[in-house]
Amino acid sequence: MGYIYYFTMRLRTVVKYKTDTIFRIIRALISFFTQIYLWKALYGSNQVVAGVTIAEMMTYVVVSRFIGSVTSIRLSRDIEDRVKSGEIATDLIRPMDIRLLFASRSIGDSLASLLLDGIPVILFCIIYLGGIMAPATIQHFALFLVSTVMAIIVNISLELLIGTMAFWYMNAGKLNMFVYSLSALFSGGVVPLWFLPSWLGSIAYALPLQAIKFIPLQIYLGRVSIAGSIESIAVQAAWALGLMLIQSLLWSKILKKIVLFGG
Amino acid sequence: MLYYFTLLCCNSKKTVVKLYTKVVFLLQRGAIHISIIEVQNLSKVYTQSVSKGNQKGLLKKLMSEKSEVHAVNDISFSIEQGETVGYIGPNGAGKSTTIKMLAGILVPTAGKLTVDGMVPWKDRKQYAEKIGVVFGQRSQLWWDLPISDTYNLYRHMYKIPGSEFNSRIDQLKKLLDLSEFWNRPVRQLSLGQRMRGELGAALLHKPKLLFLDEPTIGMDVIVKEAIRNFIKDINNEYGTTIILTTHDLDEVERTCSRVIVINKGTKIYDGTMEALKSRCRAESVLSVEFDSNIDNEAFAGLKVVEKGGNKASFAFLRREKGAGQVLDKLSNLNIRDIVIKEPPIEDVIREFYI
Repeated sequence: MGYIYYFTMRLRTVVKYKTDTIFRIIRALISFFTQIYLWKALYGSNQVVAGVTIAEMMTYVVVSRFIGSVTSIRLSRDIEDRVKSGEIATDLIRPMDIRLLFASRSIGDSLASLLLDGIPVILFCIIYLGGIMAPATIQHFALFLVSTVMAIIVNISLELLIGTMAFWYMNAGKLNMFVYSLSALFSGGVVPLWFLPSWLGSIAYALPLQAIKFIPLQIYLGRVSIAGSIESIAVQAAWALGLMLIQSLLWSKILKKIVLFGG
Repeated sequence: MLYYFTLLCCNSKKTVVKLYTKVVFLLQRGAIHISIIEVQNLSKVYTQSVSKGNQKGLLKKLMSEKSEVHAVNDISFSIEQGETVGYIGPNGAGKSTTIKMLAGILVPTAGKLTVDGMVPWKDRKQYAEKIGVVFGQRSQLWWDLPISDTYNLYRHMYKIPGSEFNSRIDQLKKLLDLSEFWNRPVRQLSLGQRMRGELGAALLHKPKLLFLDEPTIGMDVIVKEAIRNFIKDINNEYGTTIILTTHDLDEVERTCSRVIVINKGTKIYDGTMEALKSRCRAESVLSVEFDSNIDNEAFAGLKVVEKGGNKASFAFLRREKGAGQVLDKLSNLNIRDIVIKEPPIEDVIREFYI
């Protein structure tokens, strides 16, 4: 119960400020249009590029925005801020598991950005672009939803791991920026991994970032078979477990030499 | 032993009941002391890397030397249930470090620490239910939301039943006067209001122990006074064990029955405030306001610290019952008001060794 209440509180704080909310929606729409028109310009009069139709590409952009919104959290930065300011002390004096507490905080963030970044884009595209391609099959759609949930879990695990490093390496912010810039290229969120040269593509497939965006996208578009989709979800699960395991190892070490700041 | 005890229980119920009532009676009278906090040879050492030369980045990290900072050094004390203890020392003495170890969020380097039968950092989650903590310098209230929301969050976190929670809220609202800002976002509150909110938040789950880390820092006299009174009330009413860190001697005098002084991580005094004063050579200051302007001659034989118009301040030693002597000398003047100010803790510590 405590965890659930915590995430609703987080959600409420994010949507509290009206002006902020409006600007956030406008910002989301502008960057969405930039993406849409960039791809339209690149396609020109072609209907198919490298085996991808323009309709597929538009769908890719919209679905990618949806996944992007539910995986847009600032957990690692939050942890770093709280460690640096010493506010982490007020989390540690609660009868709660601190990692679950952080996870519920992230889910609050996810829902807030779904509300403010994801849904406006989807609504706008239904009205303005006349909708997107439907998922390949109903099974693909179900698997897509499962895969999206897995993507959220992988993302939280990754952010938690980066945030954990803030406890001993005080500049986790730099690491964070590094992961974000990697993510722009290797997650498949901006450019589908099909378009990457094969050597870059193989790097992407070896990283957890594609499990956050590219895997659910591929499933939605039916680019992989049902069996292939299940396999991809297993890959996501493996990444989630792996990242959590590394985080746990670090965590047990850190708890012993935890240093809290601010006198 | 156990065998005889069982025999005793079976054969003479009356004796057992008598024995039991006796123990309870003694407990109530305070004849048997139960210590709730046991600290033995507690130490905390921080390792810091000190860079040498002017290399940058990773190289600097690798070339740096480790240096140790002994924040808390071999401290021992025990605190009984229901005590109010002032934990006092200058900045950087190790007060907060001790409080954090007591609160279970910092792991000691060496020594033993048990609170109510638990090792705080090992049993952090269960232990958290027993304690309330207020850090004067950081907030546990949600900045953008009213305190009512934060209190509801803590109700769920500590699993407080609804009816109990409501009656608790009513009590706290009365004691701390929370109603006037109950539904206002925390960011709009004054420092004093916020601190009242913090105290309420720390007490929602009726903790056995309350740790207050500089609770009145940066507050004006009236708010300070209100908070000190509240701390006393809580201790009287619920028997909550309270440990309070501060560098303000007045604060300890008004709220605590016992004082522990630490300096540079080491305990240098543990006892009552009166005994501390009688051993202290630092001067207290008595400020007097007269009905009219007074000439300097009237103050002959007194140590005048400050004088202007109808006001004057005199230094005196507590251990020599100096306040009475000062007042004796001023007895034929018309006094409107007097205020006594205790010496700053830094002076007390400096004078303590002499």
